[in-house]
Amino acid sequence: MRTLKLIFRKKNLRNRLLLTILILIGIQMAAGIPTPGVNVDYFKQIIENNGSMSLLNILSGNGLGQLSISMLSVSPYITASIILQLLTVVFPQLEEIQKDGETGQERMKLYTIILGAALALMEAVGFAVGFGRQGLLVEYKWYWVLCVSAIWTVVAIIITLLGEFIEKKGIGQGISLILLFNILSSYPSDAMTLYQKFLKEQTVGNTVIHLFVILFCITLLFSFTIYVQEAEKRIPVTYSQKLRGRVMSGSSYFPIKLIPGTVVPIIFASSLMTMPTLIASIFGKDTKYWIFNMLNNMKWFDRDHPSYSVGVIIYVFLIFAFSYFYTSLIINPVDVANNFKKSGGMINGIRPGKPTSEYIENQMKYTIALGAIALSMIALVPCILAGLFGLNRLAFAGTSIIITVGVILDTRDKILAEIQPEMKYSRRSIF
Amino acid sequence: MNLLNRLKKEYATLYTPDKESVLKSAAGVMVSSAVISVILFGISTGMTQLIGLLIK
Repeated sequence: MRTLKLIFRKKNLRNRLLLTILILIGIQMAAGIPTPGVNVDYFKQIIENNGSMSLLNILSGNGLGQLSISMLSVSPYITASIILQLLTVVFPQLEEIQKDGETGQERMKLYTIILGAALALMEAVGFAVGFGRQGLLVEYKWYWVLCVSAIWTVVAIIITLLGEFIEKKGIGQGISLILLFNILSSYPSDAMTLYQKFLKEQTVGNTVIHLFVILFCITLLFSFTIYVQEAEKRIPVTYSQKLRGRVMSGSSYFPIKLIPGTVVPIIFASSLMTMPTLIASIFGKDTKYWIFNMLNNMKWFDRDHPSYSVGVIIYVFLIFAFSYFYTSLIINPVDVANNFKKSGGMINGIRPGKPTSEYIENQMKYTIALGAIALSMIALVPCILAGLFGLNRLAFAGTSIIITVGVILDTRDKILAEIQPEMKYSRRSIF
Repeated sequence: MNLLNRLKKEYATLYTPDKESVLKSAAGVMVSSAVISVILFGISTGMTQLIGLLIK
């Protein structure tokens, strides 16, 4: 309460917070507007039976399921930012731009928006043409394809620009906040699903027990995600620098997060596993074969078809592979070692230069493996719930919980940083 | 077995947040998520009603 009072006492912070909330609510209202010329129920069945499509639906704030005008939401922008990050490996010029301070970051953002817009157009046309002739469009005519594609693309671009606007004029990371609100808008339907499955038509005693177990499991899931997100490997670093003839020394640490890539490895793994089914669906092919069911994470842990669970092994393998791959993109041990050298830093007992980079690489190897185990555990929760209890993808479980926890904690820290002077006695008490 | 032991050793050297702060943060995240989702549910229901009226 005290924190809320402090926020509302600061005029600038209050206005920025209100602006952010207004924009986010506006975007959510757009998610309720149906696209003209489409069969709004077309995707509902597909989403219920396909795990990755339902993840896309959650990330779009149920826009895909309702075929609303904001159906694509920020997903093309997210895909674009991942692609650009991957391209930095292929094109060193991009890496140079990325390292060029604030100007470089601004340029990279511009490239991401442009690439995101192009991807939005491609996705919109792909959906309208691919699924349009299978019944998505009320009338499969060129002008409907054009109209629907234009609406989806323009709205996706507007949402992305609003996300950037939040970052500049509001508070927090705009795109992440939009994603968070999209996920949270599915929570009420999750509550309804849990109610119908475990609480409806039960005796009072059973209802109380079930409610307690559900709350306990949800708390456990959130706590585990927070624990994993905040855990890190700390490599002690000693600094010594000559300043005006005097040797100054100090110590610090180099942190390696347990999951440096956060949700990206899971998104990569599930996207790769959905790709064959999605391509087959677009070309109107039958997706009832064993291979497609094995790749569909909603079919795993099914007692009637245990052979589908082979997909779990591939999924976990891909999460491990992408965890290592993505971490290698964001943490370069050679760069870290060079930076230590430049700033007069040294890892205790390790010589600067190559030995330092090798030491960091070795340390990262096991930390990332632990992180990948934790990520796999979180990613498999919705699959287990779907297989054992027949629960369709719950928005709070899996990838979404990592995003929810990450964005809320990040926004909390940003707000706390703004009111830091007043909060010196109660740091981290916003909740 | 060796790998398992190595991972166990690695886990022991990790910096991990204390139980109390994890539970506090979890409670905060859950409460704020619940509050926002209830508001969003209100907005979405309102929008559905409004669109229904406009279509009529």
